[in-house]
Amino acid sequence: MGFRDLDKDQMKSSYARDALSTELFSEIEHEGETYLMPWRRYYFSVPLNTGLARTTDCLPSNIPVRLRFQRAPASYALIKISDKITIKQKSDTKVTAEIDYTYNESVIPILNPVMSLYYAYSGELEQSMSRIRTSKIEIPFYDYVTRRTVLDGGLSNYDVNLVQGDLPKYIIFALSDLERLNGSETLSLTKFVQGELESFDLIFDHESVLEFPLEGNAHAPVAFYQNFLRQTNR
Amino acid sequence: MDFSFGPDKRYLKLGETQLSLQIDIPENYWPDNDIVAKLFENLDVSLNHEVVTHKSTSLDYAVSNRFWNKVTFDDSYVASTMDSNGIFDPM
Repeated sequence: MGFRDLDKDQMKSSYARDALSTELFSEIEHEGETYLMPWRRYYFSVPLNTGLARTTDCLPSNIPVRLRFQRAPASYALIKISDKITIKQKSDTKVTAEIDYTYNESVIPILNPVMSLYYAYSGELEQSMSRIRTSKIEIPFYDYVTRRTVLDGGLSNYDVNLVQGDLPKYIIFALSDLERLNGSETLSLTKFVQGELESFDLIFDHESVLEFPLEGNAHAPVAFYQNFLRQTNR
Repeated sequence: MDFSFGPDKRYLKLGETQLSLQIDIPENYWPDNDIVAKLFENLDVSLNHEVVTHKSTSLDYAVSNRFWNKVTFDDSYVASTMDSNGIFDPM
């Protein structure tokens, strides 16, 4: 559904990426001459990824708000398509050379960040929020985090304790490998695979949840999905 | 990267709030799918000087955004509108 996460070997066309970027050049010295090295400047605009931004509720008025983004390593975000890059001589752009180039920034510098805030205000909203203030009703939202568990190799069954504390509303689990999750130049960070997983059981309080264990049929949980559709009248 | 907003008599709606940014990448690299989410490990949201979000691992932002998009948007929506979000490879 939706989109695919591709590793270097699966990426064939830069068409979509080129459409969202412009070409620019930096100057470098190569064999005593000034050359132009090609870069692309990408322009993005995204919603925030936090539970508070996934609700339709507004925040209370007259409070300070701070959003602090903790930066991730550059290797999380980039796929190295080629070891070499083609540079052009500045004084005669018909003269080109191929050089090895590796991106060495620890994090990708962000240019011109702009946070476009959306404020709402109306008499009706004011009344509604006043009621919330006086009755101290909370604004509910789902907080979500990622837990990472390293599994030992060579076992036929794995028991993973997923939950400590309150029961979550949703659980999503996925399989990957350490090379990918540590940030690889050639692998997409978020490409997940079924691997050798044949079935999994979800156990609460020492008992399997209804309809579990979930078993793959040619790598597709057909029976489970059909039952889900039936039970949700679809 | 930090953004602070002072008290305002109006009501901030984070669901409609957008972050715009630019990044420069050498031509022998391509952005991974959903690249903007992969620029960040976490987002701390502080309301009235109190942090209301939690951090677990350095993968929180990228992985949770990936699954959110995966279960929320269908193929046609992704293909037609989400390249400006940094999602390039529709099914």
